Amino acid sequence: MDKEVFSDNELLDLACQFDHSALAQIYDTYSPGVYRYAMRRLSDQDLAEECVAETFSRFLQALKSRRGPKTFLQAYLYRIAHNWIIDQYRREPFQPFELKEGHIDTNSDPEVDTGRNLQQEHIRMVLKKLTPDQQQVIALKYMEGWENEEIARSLKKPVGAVKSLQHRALASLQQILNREELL
Amino acid sequence: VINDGLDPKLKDAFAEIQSTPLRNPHAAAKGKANFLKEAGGLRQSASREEDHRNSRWNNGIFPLFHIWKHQPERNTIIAIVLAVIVFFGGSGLSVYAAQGSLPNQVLYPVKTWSEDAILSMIGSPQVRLSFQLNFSDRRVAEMASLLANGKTIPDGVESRLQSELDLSLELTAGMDDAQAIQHLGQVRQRAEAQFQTLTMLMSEGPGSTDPLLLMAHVRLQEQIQLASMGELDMPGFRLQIRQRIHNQVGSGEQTSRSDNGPQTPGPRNLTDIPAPSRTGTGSKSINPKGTPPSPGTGAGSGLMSPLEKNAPTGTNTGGNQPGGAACPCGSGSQNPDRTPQPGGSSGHGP
Repeated sequence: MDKEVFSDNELLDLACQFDHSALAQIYDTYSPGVYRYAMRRLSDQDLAEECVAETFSRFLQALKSRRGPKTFLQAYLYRIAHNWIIDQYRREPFQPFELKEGHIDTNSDPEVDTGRNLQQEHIRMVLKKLTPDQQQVIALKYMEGWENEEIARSLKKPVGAVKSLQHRALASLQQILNREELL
Repeated sequence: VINDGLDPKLKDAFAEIQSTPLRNPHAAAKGKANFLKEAGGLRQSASREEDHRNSRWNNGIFPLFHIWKHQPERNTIIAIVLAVIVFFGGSGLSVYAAQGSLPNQVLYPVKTWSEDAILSMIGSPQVRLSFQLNFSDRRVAEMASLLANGKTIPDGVESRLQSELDLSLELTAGMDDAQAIQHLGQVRQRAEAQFQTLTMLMSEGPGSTDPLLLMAHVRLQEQIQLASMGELDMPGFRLQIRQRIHNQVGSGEQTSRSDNGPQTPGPRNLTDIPAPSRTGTGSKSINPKGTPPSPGTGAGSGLMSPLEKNAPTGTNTGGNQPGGAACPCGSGSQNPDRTPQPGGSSGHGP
C-alpha cells in the first residue's frame, strides 16, 4: 500500500491535529537536513541528535499551544535548531578537540583524518567568532545551499538585511583568516 | 552550494566542513520513535483538554442559555433590571451634575426635582426639617448668584423659598413641645442668617430693587418673628400656623405654589399640627382674619422678639404697631399680589 504524501501546507494542517502519518512524514523529510546542519556546526553526533530531538520536540509543543508555523516549515525548524545551537555554544563556550568514534574511518589514513578534523574544528572556531545571525547566514548559504529568500524567512528578516549580514560575515571571516596567516 | 565569487581561502574553509559523517540509522530511528511517542502523548492530552473545554461549555455555560431560552419571564426580569441600572446610572450622574445649577440653567429642574424626591423619601420630621433648611439656604444662595451675575430672580425661586420657609414652620409645629422649641431655635437662626444675606444684597447689589428680593426679605423677617414667638409661646405658635395654612388653602395660594414649590414635603395638613391645649394668651393673639393684634389686647403684645425691636422700618407690616413692630401673623405672605409695602403698610388700618 502506497504511503500518502502530503504537501507542506497539508502536512502542517494535519500536524496541528497531531496526525501520526503527517508527523512521521515531517520527521522523515526534515530531520536529515536538521541533523546535517547541526553536525556541520557542532561536529558532534550526540549533540546533533540532541539538537534534532529538541528541535522536533519544540515543534510539537508549539503545535499544542497553537503557536506553530502556518507555512515554511523548513525555515521554522532550522530557526529552532539554530537557536538551540547558539544556546549550546553559550552553555559550553570552549570544548577541547577530541576525536570521536564517529570520526574514525578504519579504511582511511588516521594521520590524514586527524589533520582534516583539526582543520574543520578550526573553521568552526572561526565561525563561532561571528554573531549568531551571521553564523546562521553563512551556515545556511554556504553549507546548506539556501537562497537568500529562504534564509530571510528562517531569520525572519528582510532579504536586504540577510545580504548585509552575509557581506559583513564574509569580511569578518576573511579578516580573521588573514590575521591568522600573519601569525 | 553557492560559492561563486567567494574568496578561495573561504571557499576551502567552507568545503572543509561541508562533508558530514552519515547519520547513525539506529539513532535516527530512535529519534523518530521518540518524536512520534511524544506526539501521541500530546495528542491525548490535547484531546482531553478539548473534552474538558466542551464539557465546561455543555455543563456550565450552555445550559444557562438553554434555561433563558425557555423562560421568557426571566428574560423580562433581566431586561428590567438592566433598564433600571442604565436609567438610574445615567440619571444619577445628571442629578449630581445638577446640584450646582442655577434657576436660569437647563439642569435646574433636575435639582429641584431631586430635592423634592429626597424630602418625599424621608419619614423623620427632624431630618426632613434639616433638609428643608438646607434647601432654603440654597434658594438664598441662588438669588445671590443670579444677582451677582446681573440676572433677575425668577418667580419660581422666591415662591419656592416661601414654601420651604412655610413648611419648616409647619414641620416644627407638628413636633412635640420640647422638640419644637429646640428646632424653632434652628429655624430662627437660619432665617436670621438668610435675612442678613438678603439685607446685604439689597444694600449693595446691582439687583437691590428686585421686587422678588424684597418679598423674600419681608418673608424672612416674618419667619424670624414666627420662630421667636414659637420659642416663647408654643400653643400660640401652633394656632398661628394652623391659621396660616387655613388662610393659604382658602385663598388658593397653596394651589398656585404647588406649581413651583415642593410637591410632597411638610405636613400641609391641619390635622398634622396638634391643636393648642389651652386657649390662653397664645390663642388670643391670633385674629381669625389674620390682622395684627392691637397693642395691649392680648399676650401677642407681650411676645415682642428681639428682632421686632430692631426691625428695619422699611419692612414693617403693621403700621399701627408702636415702634414699627412687624406682625407675626404673616400678612405679608398672604398678600395676593405679593407686592412688598415699602412704606410699612400691609393694608391693615388702625
